[in-house]
Amino acid sequence: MSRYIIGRLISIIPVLLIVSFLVFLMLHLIPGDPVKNMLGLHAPPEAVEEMTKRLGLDKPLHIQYLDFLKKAIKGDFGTSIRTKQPVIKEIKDRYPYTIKLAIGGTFFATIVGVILGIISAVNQNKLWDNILMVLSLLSVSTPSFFLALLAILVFSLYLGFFPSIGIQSTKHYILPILTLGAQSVGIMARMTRSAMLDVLNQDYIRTSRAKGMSEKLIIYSHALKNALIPVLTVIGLRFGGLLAGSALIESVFGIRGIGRFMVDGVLTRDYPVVQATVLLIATTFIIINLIVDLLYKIVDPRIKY
Amino acid sequence: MVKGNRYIYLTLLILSVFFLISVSSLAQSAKSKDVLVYGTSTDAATLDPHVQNDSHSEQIVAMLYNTLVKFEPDGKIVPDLAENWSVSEDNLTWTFKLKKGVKFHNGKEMTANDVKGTYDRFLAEDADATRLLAKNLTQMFKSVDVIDDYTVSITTKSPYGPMLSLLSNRTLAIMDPDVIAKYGASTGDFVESSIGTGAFKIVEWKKDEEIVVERFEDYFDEKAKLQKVIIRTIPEAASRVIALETGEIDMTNQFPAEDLQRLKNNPNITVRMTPSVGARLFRFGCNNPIISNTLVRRAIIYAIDRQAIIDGMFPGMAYPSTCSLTPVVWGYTNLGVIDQDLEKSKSLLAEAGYPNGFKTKIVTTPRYEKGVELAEVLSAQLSMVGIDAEIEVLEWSVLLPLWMGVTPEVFDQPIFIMGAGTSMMDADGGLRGLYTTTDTGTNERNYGFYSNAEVDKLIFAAMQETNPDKRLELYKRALEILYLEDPMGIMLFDTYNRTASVSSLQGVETNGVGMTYFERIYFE
Amino acid sequence: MLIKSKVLKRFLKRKSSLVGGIIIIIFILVAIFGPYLTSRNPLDIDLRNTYQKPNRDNWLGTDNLGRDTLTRLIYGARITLIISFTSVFLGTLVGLILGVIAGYYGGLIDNILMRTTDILLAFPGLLLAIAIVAILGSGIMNTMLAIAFYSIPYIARIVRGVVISIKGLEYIQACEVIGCSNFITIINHIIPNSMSQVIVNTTLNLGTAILTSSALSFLGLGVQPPHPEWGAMLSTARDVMRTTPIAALIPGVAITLVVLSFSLVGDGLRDALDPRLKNN
Repeated sequence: MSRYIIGRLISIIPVLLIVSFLVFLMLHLIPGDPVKNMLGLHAPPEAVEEMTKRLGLDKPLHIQYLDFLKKAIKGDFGTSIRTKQPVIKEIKDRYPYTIKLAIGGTFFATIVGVILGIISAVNQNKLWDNILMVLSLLSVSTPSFFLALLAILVFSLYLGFFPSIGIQSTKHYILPILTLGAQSVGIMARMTRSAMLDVLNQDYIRTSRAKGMSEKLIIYSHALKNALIPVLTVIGLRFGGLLAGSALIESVFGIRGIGRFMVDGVLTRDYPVVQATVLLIATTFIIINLIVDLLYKIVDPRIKY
Repeated sequence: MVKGNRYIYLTLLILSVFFLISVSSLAQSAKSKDVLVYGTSTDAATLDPHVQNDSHSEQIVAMLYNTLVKFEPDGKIVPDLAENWSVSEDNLTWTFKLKKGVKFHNGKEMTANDVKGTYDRFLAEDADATRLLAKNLTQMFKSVDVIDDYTVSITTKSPYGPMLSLLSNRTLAIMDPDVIAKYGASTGDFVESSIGTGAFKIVEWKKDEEIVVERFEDYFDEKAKLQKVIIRTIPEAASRVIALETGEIDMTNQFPAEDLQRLKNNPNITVRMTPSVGARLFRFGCNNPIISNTLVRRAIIYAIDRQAIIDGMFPGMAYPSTCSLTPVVWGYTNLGVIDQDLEKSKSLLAEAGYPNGFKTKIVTTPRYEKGVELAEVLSAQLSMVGIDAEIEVLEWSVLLPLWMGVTPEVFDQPIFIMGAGTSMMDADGGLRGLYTTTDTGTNERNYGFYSNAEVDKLIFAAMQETNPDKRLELYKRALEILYLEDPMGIMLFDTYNRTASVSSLQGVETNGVGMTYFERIYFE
Repeated sequence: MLIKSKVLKRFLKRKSSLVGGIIIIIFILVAIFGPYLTSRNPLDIDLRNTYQKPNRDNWLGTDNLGRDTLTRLIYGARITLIISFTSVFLGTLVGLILGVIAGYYGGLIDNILMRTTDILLAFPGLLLAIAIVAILGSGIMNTMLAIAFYSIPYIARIVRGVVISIKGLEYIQACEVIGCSNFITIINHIIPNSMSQVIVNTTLNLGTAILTSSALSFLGLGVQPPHPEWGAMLSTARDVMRTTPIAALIPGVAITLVVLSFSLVGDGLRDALDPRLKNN
């Protein structure tokens, strides 16, 4: 087991290296002179030279990458062109919002999705199943930013239940989390349903039934436990989707998370910010998937790699 | 057997929804009555008075810093840091007696040395004129001298009529030279480097989210009535209005025209509007070979239907421009609204050698209210005279470096959006930097490379003229050229300063420059 | 032929898929022919006629600049169609080729290609799209490229899996024995055999592509105004959500409906093409 864990930990290192290399490369793939893009066309030659030096753009590519990597590990991503603050400081301020939203959204999606999936599975092909499956497809198909706008309209403006903007209190998190997670509810429900059906059709369940075991007991003690295993992998994937999707929700609710920070960075050509946020989101995603993989192994020791 | 479960699940679901709702309504906190939450569209770019160049930054600068003299809401100039002043007979030397016991937020006392230190920052030969806007404004200054701890004199190279208006400008706010020396180019970029003498001191700055200022207890003048102001950045106009209506913010300075009537009808909300120095225009990039042709520029200004733009996009919020300055600026002359005249426009184009129009580009930014839509409308209206204008949308922070201090070779904006206004409420501030020929090879603040020898002569003559009637005459002639004969841009409309606040908020006053006196605001 | 009609029958039996199919056909027809049926221009500005409620002249009302919402919706359908089909086609094509190469040849090539897809999959879809826009800039072309790019790894993996599973089948091996060239083997057997899974995924990807392109446009990173892309229309309508909520509802519902239809059809196709997958 521990050998597996160590092996798995080591296996993400090359992935992280390549991801960081791609992120590093972004700056070089952008058409035009990156320094002039950042400093503006009028920038005096001395400033251009200084920035070129500071970014190490005068060195060979592989040296530049090593420098980038060294600094990135230390958390040094340079200074934001727009806010003039060290990027790492800005990210420290903003990252917690996004993480809380993504975790909240994942929890919400998992709990509600799994419950709905079970209801569907035990009522297979009956009215409830059909309704729930269409609803879950609807949730998958609704753009989260559209849902968020609707939620503000109904729950903030018409009903006055929740604040419409900002992230100053716990209450502020509710609508963003629900709208961020909504899309995944459908995905989780469908996943749970098919996993449950797979299990329910297996021999040992049939045997239990034949033995006269109560249906409830079958569903909860046997089926659910085994059905949750494939669901677990989806959680990791969904978490990544929610991390990236937070850019939309943060934009609608005016939350200063790193998703919006990244989008603002793209819009304002604030490349140090874009690099740092892309790298951070990708890294978070990789690590979460690693954790899910390890959990997976614990839940289902039969799996061999 | 399974049937029963369904209801359990559903009940659970419904219960959890109700739980969420009830938790959230419990969290409703009573708002204390001396904290104001103010919603604004953009975070301040910098809180360095000498560098800031947009009304959002200027408003916060106005809360944190003081000037020697200041505007009252009605435009009258009254003492601020200076107690009284006098001017020499040759109109060259202004002497200011400073108030005693004025403290900076860091506890240091403000004296004549600080005034000199502040001004020397941009009077220095090697000061960066592109960054320090104050340098261009004070190009007639010769020196600033300390007479004693509480007396300072400003000597100009030639007589300068609007001296007091100039000194009321927040761009000339007094700073602590030690702070400038310590933080250099990052002065005004964060809390510790934004130190003034103002009624409020900054305590927190979360970029893109909020700036928190608190009452400065050692303020030399009447202390602020509010204990704290939270300036919250809410980029979306609709979100700001919703936040105001739901009570999440108490006041905002920008709301869409579409909401104006509804806000006015809302008994819980008070809307205040006063004429402003601000005008919306699209300037010409006169370095462009086609646009440099005066006939082409004249043709363009007649192709635009200003009333339709106002009625369709800014009803009740703007009025058509009648000159290159707005009526509240000293030096304004009513030259009439330019009505759309497509025939005239076409014949001017033909005369210029473009009977079938030409291809060009409009550069705009969403930072200005409906900036993108305005460009779309302009492009559509220009197409009626055969001009095919593509639209380029740039974010503010991308656009600014493309505007400032560039050479004609790199500047590529034949028609570009502009929000013009002068923070000194005088034609000198509204015209000299923006439309006189620059001699440094770059555009400095004359972004569009406008150059007209007669305009140069008139504006500099007016700057040195001390007789108000004669100054007015000079500006009138300059404006005729700028507005009609050799247009510097497409003047569209003049705007109002506007605030919408909860009705319990009192003492909300805004001057022509658009600065609200936050220290005077209180809750009823 | 027999198989195809069977598939069609199974597909049509599911009412939800049928409804989805009909909506998609309507959507495609509107996107292709709609612009010819209206004489209006989606960019025609009429400032004296802004924010009209639906009426006889403007069936779905007008927008912030008095442009006819119905006309914009129709032209928007065309933009949506072009973006989604082009990007998914591109992504599928490249993914297909890479998947076939990886699965057929195996070994080092397979290893390299699959590790590359691993890396690409380490970026959530929208993040990858945003990163690509950050490099290339916004606009219709770049939106298509961004979406195409991020769908490559998914298709490549699916195709590779299929190729490996059928490579071992007897008739493929038999073919090799007769001396068919690799190329012919691939064209004749492997691609047709992986088609059903690719079709299902492509259909589902079309929905995702529409969601992503509207999300990018909503953020200001995709199609730029004044082009009537649905996400961009929704973004514009945000400003007046308070006064004219219908302006936001129309493009929002349009996106949802079309994406939903692609999901329904994709589901239906999956069940119809591969009945073993249906949990009956």
